[in-house]
Amino acid sequence: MTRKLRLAVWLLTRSFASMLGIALVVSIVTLALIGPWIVPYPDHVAGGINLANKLQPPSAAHWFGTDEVGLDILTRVIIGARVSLLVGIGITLSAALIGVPLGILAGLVGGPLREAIMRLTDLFLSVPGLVLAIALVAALGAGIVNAMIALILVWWPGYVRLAESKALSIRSEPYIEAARVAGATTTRILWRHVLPNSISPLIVKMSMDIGQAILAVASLGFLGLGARPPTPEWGAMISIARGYLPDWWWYAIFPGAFIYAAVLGFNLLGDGLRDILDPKSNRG
Amino acid sequence: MLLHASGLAKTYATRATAFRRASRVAAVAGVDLSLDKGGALGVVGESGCGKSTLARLLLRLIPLSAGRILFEGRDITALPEAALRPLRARMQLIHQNPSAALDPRLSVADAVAEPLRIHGHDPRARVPALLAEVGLPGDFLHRYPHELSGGQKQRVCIARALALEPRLLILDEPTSALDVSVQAQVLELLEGLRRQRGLAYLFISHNLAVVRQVCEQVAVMYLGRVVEQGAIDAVLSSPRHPYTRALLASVPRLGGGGVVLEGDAPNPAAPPSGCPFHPRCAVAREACREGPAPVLRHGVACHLA
Amino acid sequence: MTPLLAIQDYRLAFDGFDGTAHVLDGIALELHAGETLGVVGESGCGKSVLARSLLRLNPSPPARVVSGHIRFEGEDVLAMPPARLRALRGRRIAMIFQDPASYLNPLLSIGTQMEDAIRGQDGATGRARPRDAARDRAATLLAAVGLADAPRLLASHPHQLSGGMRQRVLIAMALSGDPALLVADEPTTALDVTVQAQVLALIAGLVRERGLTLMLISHDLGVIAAACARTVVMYAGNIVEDAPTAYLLARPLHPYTRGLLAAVPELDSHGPRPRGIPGGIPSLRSPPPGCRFHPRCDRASALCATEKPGLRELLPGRAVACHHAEV
Repeated sequence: MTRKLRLAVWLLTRSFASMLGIALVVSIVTLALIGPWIVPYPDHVAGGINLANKLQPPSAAHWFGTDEVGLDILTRVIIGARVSLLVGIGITLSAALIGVPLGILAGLVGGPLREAIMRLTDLFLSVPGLVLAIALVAALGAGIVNAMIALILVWWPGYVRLAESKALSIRSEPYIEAARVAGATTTRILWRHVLPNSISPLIVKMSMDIGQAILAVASLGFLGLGARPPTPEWGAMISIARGYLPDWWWYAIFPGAFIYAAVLGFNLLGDGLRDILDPKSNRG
Repeated sequence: MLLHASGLAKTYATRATAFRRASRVAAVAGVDLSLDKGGALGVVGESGCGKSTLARLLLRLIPLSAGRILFEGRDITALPEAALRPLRARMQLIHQNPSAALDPRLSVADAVAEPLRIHGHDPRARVPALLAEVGLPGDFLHRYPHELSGGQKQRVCIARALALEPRLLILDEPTSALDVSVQAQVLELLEGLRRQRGLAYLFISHNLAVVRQVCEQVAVMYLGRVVEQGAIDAVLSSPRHPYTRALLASVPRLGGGGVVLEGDAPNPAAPPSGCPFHPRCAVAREACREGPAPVLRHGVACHLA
Repeated sequence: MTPLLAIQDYRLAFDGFDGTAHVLDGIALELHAGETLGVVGESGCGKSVLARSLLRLNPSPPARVVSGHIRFEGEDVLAMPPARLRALRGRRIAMIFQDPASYLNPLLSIGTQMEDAIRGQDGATGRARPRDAARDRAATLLAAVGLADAPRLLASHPHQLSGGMRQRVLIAMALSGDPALLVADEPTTALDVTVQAQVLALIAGLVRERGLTLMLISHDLGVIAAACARTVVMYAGNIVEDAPTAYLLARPLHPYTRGLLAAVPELDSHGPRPRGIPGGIPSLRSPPPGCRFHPRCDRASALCATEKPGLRELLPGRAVACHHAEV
């Protein structure tokens, strides 16, 4: 185990991109975890109005400046990390929990069941995800929870696709035949062999998807379909800040930079994980 | 008699696509064979001759197109999957490529324990004994396949196959992925196991010299059919089918020399008329080109033998 | 006479997580024009890495040249600028590999790929000939490797050919630059035994007719015996024996060569049963001190565990790296 751990560290440290990904993800997760205790103005989280202090440029008192009602942007961006991270992880996990079992079932069982699952998947995938999500939110009503539901509904088919293709290729591996010869039932083959061997590409996809989901939630927020002010959500903040560009640039720049860092971090982490999780990647 | 198969056939139907017409490929076309308890039968042929398909038919891993299989006197031709599962303990398969036959995420201990767990035995005491039997020390238990050499992986596969005390091992090219010095070790191991456990082997190989070391009987396959069958020494010293003769002559020998057989094996989707070997046969006559394919009679399927 | 190929004290290492693997450990080899050399050894002995070194095909990293020179026609391959190296690859040294299918592009016709190869060879030194001239040359080359009906073959795609035909096509492409040296890395391993015999006969014939120098890498002594007059045996990154093939087979001097020969199962039912060599190949990251074969050797002495034996010529043309070898 320690050797595996050392190998993982070695593989990661060889790549600057992976290290950057880890650094970004760790920073954002840390901010999200300890945010409420470190923000300079905890009472600015819930909202409030302090017009005397509105749209102040970055200063020693307000590192990231203040917004149009005088709230500290640094405080709200840090608390925004909690929202984005929770929503991003929630969407990805739920989508995987729906999509992966369906995909593995389709790949392993085949026949009419596979056809049914895959055609339904195609149906969802044939509409651009964000457009479908916007339509769903419009039907369900705006709000962060409805935005999540809409994005989960848009997201699961991707996992069906990946899990199905992985299950299909694993199904023809000799070790599956070897398990059959040993007398294994289909259920056992699924749990012991197919699932563990398809998990790494799924984890890689999930890592990258967390970034994409954060971006999608921010997009919905930007369109006014996600989190509502005064909830400190990055997309919603940029949506309002847009009206204050370019003179009050700090209002849009800082939430934007955090979205950028989060998405980039999870993508790079996904790439790094791909190297670690491949059981054969112990060259040398 | 441990295993008796008659008229085994496997025909694959390829579906028509925009670029290709539908066709039927006879991978195995009417094979009879039988194997005594503790016996060893070699099945020899080149790629595409149907020898691996034959192995999977005998284990009922793929559906039969025709034929009948008796195992330990019991007709297993039409047994449903659930009824086959307990029987599979008694007939095991060794794959050609041990690297692919082991789940990369299972440790050696888990791989060898899997069949025991499936059949409700306690693996703890048995696994180290099985590893010792195939010549692997106990510290291999917690290693993973990618940490082992090819020969060690094949030993793990053999230990796994032995876990359920089988009567029959079907070995599909068990040493062709291994180096010669390792091949010799694995063959020695297989010979010893057969003696000690009274196992029967169906040994599939492209290498006649390897088969000679392990088996008493041999069947030579060409294009889904057995073209010659008999005691290994007799077949090697006086081959009667022209294909067997050509096969023997093609083996590169340390002494050099040898005859070169012209052409490639024909496409099984469009087999030649008459005797399937006639386009490459040095002694083919008119009778070989037309009429039905020769059947196996007195151990050889050739009009001219 | 200067040799066509001269390798001196060539050491190559692969850097990895578990440390540095010393894959080639001081290779010394001379090959004269017109020679047919077989390189035999088991997987992991470094024979393919050595073959790829001649054209600097080992990706770096992880590969790292530690020391030595590889001189081809007097010029050091390891110091060549990229343009010189391109002119060397294919034109002076051609290579064929084990798995012909993966060296042909499945989407392009055989004709297109052969024309590209021929024109690419032209381009390395001057102006490429026009396509139809290249096609004529391709047809000539196909005839030279025993493939009739060139027009139909040039129009076909790799998947329509058998494994033996694909390897013939690759041999034809290898000949397109009129190379001085043909390096064949396990060229028949993926083929059936009857087809293997055909391809070996073809290679032997081409070498004779065209005066090629051949370096044939194989794990199978039988294959080497069929095509090579001289053989070197490799073990764990070292050349342990170098001898005319007939002598090597009749009277191997190195214990590893003897073990290798004893492990080959023979068809003729009179010889002794094949015996394996006990143990396995050593880790190249922490190879045994002294002779790398000594832990598996039945003749090893205290000297073998401490001092690495050099390749010494016991008889003219017969060299062996063993402290205890005698004639």
